[in-house]
Amino acid sequence: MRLGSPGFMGSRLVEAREARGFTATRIADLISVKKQSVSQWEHGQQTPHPDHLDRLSAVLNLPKSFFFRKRSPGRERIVFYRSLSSATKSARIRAERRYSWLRDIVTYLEGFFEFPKVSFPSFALPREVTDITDDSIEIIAGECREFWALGNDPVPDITLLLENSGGICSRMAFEADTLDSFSEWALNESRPFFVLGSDKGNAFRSRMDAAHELGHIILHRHISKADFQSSAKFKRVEQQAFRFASAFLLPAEQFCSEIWAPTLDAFLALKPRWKVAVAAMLMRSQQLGIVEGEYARRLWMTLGRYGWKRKEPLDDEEAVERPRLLRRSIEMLLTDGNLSAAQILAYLRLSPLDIEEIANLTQGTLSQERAQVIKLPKFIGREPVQEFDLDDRSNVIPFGRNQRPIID
Amino acid sequence: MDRLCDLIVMTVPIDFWKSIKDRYPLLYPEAHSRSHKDPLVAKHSAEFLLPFIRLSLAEQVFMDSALRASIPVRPEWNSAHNYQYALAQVGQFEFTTNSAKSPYDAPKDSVYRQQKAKINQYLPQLTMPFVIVDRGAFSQRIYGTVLHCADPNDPSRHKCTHISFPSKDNESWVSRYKIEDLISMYSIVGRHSNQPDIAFPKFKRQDEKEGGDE
Repeated sequence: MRLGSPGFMGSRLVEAREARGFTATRIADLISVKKQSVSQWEHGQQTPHPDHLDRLSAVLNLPKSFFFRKRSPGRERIVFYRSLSSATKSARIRAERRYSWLRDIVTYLEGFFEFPKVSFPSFALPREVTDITDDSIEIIAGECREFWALGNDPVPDITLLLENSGGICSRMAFEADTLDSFSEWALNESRPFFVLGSDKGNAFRSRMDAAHELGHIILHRHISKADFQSSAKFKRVEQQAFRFASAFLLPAEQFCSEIWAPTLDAFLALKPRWKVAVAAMLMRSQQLGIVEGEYARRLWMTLGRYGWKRKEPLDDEEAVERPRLLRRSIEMLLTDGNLSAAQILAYLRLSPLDIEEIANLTQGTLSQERAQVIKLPKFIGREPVQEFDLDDRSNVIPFGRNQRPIID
Repeated sequence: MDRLCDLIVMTVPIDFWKSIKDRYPLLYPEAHSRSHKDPLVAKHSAEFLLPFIRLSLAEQVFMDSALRASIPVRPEWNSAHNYQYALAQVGQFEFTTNSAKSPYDAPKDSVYRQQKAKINQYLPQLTMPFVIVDRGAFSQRIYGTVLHCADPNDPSRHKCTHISFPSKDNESWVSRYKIEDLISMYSIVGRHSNQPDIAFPKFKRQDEKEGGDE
């Protein structure tokens, strides 16, 4: 009889493979089996031999138990991306897989915690997304500022604003130039999710990304899947989110009053205060009619000639905003919740490095805490000799933090 | 508080003003001592030397204060090319330092200051929201001087320091602030929106715990 791994979930293998950005062929090469075998495992026609399972676990850097965990029932998701081009498809799939892990982590934490109350403003918007005008977006952005009592000054931390309002934020690497961030708030869900990219390490761009996603959540929550798939409407939806982000980050009246000259130097001088990129300020100035026509074209050319489209001055001067809520939750579980890292890992069945990244934990919070191996007493003759090697660290996770082994 | 003051507070680091406020009073006795206590300098010459020594000490303190506050500062020739003023540029402002007989007097008229102060005729418009004046005027920065003056009864003592924005003819002021008042404005103007940190999870009560989805 052929030895398999009863209970192995093929869908989990697909999920893990896509989360790591591997093709089935690549996996087959890495664990030295035929591609057909991987395909059969994925389709549930066969289960891998325990040796192959070990290798899958090592190659995909996931615990073996991950492949046996049932998946929660799937549902249609409307996730907002900046681009739906084929170039971003694999990056999107990879990001979505990791997003589903984020959702698993949040579901787990919601069992222990109450998160901040959800408080995002809602507006009566036209049913047809193309009927939302730029003028109404300006008004909505202003009312959002009013809702959160932000006044007309720069918002110090957009991520904190989203988390204070009950949103779930995560920052993770997408490993794709074309993917910056995405968000989701389904009509039947209690709170919105914001996933921000960590690849570019640019605080100014990242704030714009977060505000852009906020724009989607405020303006497009009612959007249908069909709207989302029409390229003309998709483009308009993206423009609207960008307009919202600009208006939210740079309120017209205050921003105009601070521009003493519509020049790149002036925008650069305002960059540390408003924490918005020069290019975004130039775009905003165009929206507000401060610069237009040939003069605007020349400014864009100059910006390109300076090389500021790739990297602007001061880009390294500001730290990227770091989400706090999930990090604080896991840290609280470890300190006040009487749970060990091993217990959290055993439940979530994910790699500690993945959880650390998704929950924005300090590296090592879960991955460096290893169970202390306690060797059971050896019997030499009738005398039990107990050996404890305190320096010995291993992946074996036999006990919780506050539990003592019972040695008969 | 007016818009100009608001703009200064938002643009110029407070450390620049604090350093000037603390150090300008010290340079007055120092300059007096250097001019009047040198046995090789006759008294009438000492009176002549005093403003020059004070000027060079003030320029040095001004430059040093700017650098400490990370404000770019450089010497710039006047129009006659016979003196270099320390010019600090920050955001939409540029500043030099000058002395005057009293805080209500303008500094000595100069072509350099007149050229710099031309922009100040637009100051009321520049600080008004949504008003755009001609682009030629925009290419300049708003010009201010850090004006200091001696006690009229005792030239070895500092009386006051003002941040002044001269009119284009250099004969009056478009706007003027005592340095102490300006510093106190920094505590009034919030540089950013107030944003509390309430992104904290709260443990559920024991009887509410669900413990995940399995």
